Amino acid sequence: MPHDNGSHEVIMPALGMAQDSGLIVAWHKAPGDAVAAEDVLFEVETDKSTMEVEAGADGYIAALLAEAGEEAPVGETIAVITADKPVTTVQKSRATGQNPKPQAPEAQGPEAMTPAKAEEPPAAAPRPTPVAPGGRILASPKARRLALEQGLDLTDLVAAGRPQPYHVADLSVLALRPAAAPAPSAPRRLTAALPDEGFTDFAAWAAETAGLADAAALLAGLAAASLSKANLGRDRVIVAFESPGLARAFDAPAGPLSAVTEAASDACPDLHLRDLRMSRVASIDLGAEDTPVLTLTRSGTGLTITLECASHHLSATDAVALLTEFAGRMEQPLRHLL
Amino acid sequence: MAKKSNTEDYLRMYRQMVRIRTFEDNANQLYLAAKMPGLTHMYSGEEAVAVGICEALKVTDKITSTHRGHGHCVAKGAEFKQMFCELLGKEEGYCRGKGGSMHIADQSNGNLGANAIVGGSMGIATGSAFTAKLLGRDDVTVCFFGDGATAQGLMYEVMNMAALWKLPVIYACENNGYSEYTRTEEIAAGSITARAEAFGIEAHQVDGQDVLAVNALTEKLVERARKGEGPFFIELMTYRYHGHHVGDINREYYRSKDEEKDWKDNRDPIIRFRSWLVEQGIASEDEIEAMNDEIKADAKAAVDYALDAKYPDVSEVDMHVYTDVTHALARNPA
Amino acid sequence: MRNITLSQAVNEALAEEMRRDETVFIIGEDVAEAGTPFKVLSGLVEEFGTARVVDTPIAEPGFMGLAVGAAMTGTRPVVDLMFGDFLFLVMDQLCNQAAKTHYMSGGKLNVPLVLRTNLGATRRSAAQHSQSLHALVAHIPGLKVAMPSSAYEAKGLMKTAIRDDNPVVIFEDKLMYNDKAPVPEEECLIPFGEANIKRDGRDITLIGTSSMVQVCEQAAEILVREGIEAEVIDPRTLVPLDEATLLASAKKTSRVIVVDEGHQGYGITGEIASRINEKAFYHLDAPVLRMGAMDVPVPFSPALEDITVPTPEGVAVQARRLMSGEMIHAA
Repeated sequence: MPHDNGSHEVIMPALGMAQDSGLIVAWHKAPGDAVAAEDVLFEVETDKSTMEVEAGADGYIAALLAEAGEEAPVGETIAVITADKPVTTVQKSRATGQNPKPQAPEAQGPEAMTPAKAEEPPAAAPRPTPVAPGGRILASPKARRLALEQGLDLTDLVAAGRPQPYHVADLSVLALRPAAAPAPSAPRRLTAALPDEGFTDFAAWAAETAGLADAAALLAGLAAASLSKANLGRDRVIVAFESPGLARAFDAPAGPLSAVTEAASDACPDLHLRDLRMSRVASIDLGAEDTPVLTLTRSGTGLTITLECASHHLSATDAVALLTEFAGRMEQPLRHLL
Repeated sequence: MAKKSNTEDYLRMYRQMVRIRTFEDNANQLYLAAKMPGLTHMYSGEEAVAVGICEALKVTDKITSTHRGHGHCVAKGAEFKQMFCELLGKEEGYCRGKGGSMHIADQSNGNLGANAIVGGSMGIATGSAFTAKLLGRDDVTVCFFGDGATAQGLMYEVMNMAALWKLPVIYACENNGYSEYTRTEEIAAGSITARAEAFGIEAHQVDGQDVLAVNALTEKLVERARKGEGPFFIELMTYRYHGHHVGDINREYYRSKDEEKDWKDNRDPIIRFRSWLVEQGIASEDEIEAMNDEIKADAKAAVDYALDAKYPDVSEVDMHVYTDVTHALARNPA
Repeated sequence: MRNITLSQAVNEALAEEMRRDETVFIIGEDVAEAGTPFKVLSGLVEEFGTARVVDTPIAEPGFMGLAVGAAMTGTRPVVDLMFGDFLFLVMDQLCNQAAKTHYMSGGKLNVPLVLRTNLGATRRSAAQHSQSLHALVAHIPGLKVAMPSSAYEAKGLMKTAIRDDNPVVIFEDKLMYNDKAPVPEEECLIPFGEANIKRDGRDITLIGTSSMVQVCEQAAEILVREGIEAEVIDPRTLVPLDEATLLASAKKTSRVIVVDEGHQGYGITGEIASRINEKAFYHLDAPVLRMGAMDVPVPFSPALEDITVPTPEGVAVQARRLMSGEMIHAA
């Protein structure tokens, strides 16, 4: 039913004489997708067969209120379409949540349909999404590998109601979707101020006596070691290194600084290191990026090190430990060798 | 080869027969002492057949052998050391331990190999004769096989072709009265020599325990075969003292002890020839005893050597599958 | 380059090798004046004589065994087995003797023979004259197996086979003897273990043997009109197999169909599909499919015989299923 505010509620239709509820076999659209009224929005299984149901309105999918595999009573709102693209979208399981109000401005007017309440008699226990026995998701080996490499979660495809088995083409759907994360995490920002830094001398000494002339690699190695120490369980850290006019990536295995090498071009970094010692920038507050970022800026004869990361990158404890370790190494690099 | 009138030749014939018997005694002991892997098949009692025939051949003439092949191998010039090594699966064996008793081959002496398939080498022998003819060599090939193998279809197929193309091959049927555990009469209908004659192949029957008779007949036929008058067929009447294989010990159910004793006591080829040598004044009993002891000592030394010799390295397992690939299984690394 | 038939190509290969090496000879039934019922060997006995083009009685085990012995003692026989179905008759001499002699002798004896025979159904020759049995010999260590897919391969692989010191079994498709292809006049040998990519493609890999190569090429033509680009590969020899080329293609396209005229069950397609599964698993976006001949004896009736072998349309159907991401269960 359309609302004046431009949102449209999609209800579970009555498709047969004796039908009380319908099993949603699959959604053909995901939250955030554009949709036309005649597009197939979902498939419903009745006691006779599986039927395709059209969206019934133009706009964008603001909310899907039941998952594929779940049953909903006839007449219950199972999706909301808004005229404008929603800022945030909702994907709910019928089993867990109540029906939310439409995300658009408040419903008004007597012609607004009352959304069915979650207190209505519960439908039959939701049927599980079509996974193999044991809860396994069916996907091709290549799709699994790429998902793993790209940090994509196949359960998101299940939640979006996409039919299995998943192939590589399905992953592009995940990559495009806005990150359906829980409430955005508060970014962390910590700074350390070092009145004196020992790195410059150390780098000179390392070049002269040990033949390690690549200062950036040394910095990356120290940063990597700090991350390993703070966030245990890493035997290799990929560090993306940046300084004005220069972007490199290093592969730092656990061990001596001499083992640091250039990383493969497709390697995903675990950590960013931004070296602004040569620039005029004195302080930074750039917000969280996709990995923790350590930035070096000059302050007098010393150094300020800023660590910024999202809360899901590092716990508070680990963030403190990372900065502490790195600061310690930058102040007295020879300690690292011990 | 000239007619035997040479003491040296006679003594060598005797030595070869004793070498075969000694080899088999040692091989049997190795089996009974559980020192030999697998099974083997004893030639003891048939020495005159292998020796009588092989003494009529040159080193470049070829033979094919059977699962009961140690006698042929020794008779065609093989050495104890490499033979024992092969039986024990050691690297220094004639086949680097990869053939064993049933596939022992000595290519440099013209032994194209023992064969575990009954009658399996008949085609090979005929092919060897074919090569000789095609390439214009005067090599002769002798195909050893048992009375049991006359049941194999392959024999008739190749005899037919050998006869059609007049190939220089001599088919030597070692009729020892038994095909595994069954008497020959029960597995071979009609006459064995008649089978060859049906193809127009000249066939002879000879006492296989008389080394001189075997040798004289073979020399004649080999000479004629070299001239293109082949093929020929010889049926040699002989007897094997042991069972079908070394484990066939309780065999009274198919062969009586009396029969075995009769052959051993009254028809033994080595005893007969020894008597003849002494009678003819070719060698004295003492000289013969000395020879026997020497051969015994040789064999013992060879056995000891083989027991201590090393096995082939495990990396050999996939070598020699193909001539042009050193390691067949390294072909497709993951 | 001139176009010659597969039959002419084989004839040329044999004639050239027999001129080059006087130890090479041909042996089999009706090989001399008759030139075999397929007339492939016509003219050879006139040039090389009956000593080197040898007619035999109908005795397959016999002349196979004879060839083994001849090969062991210094000549290089090319054994002509009139129909691939007769392979069963020669298995002891081929697989127990020829295949194992080099190994059992510790490398001292060689068996440089070629067994030349054929495969292929749809000739209305019924069950005992229509089989494609190359899987049986590919399974035996010590044998090499070549599968020419056109006149060009037939000549190049035959010459390599004759010069190889190992026993080689070479299967020609009996339906292809009159098919022409460009074949160089100058000496050209095709090495064993080198696959040939006949057509480049990015969407799906079609691996075919013998005349199934043409089936795959025709399927590729059907598919390209639908926007699907198939890569077609001819392995040329099954033993040795050029795995690297097959795997690289599988990794490129992520979808593979193996097409062979042997029976589908326990055959060539299973072996190749298995290797791809093992070694390119994480690059596969679809199951590797096998298309072999139906697991039935070859029927006589044309209405039945033609549906037992893979066809271009059949390959295209399977290719479309893989492209669509259909969840394919075993039949």
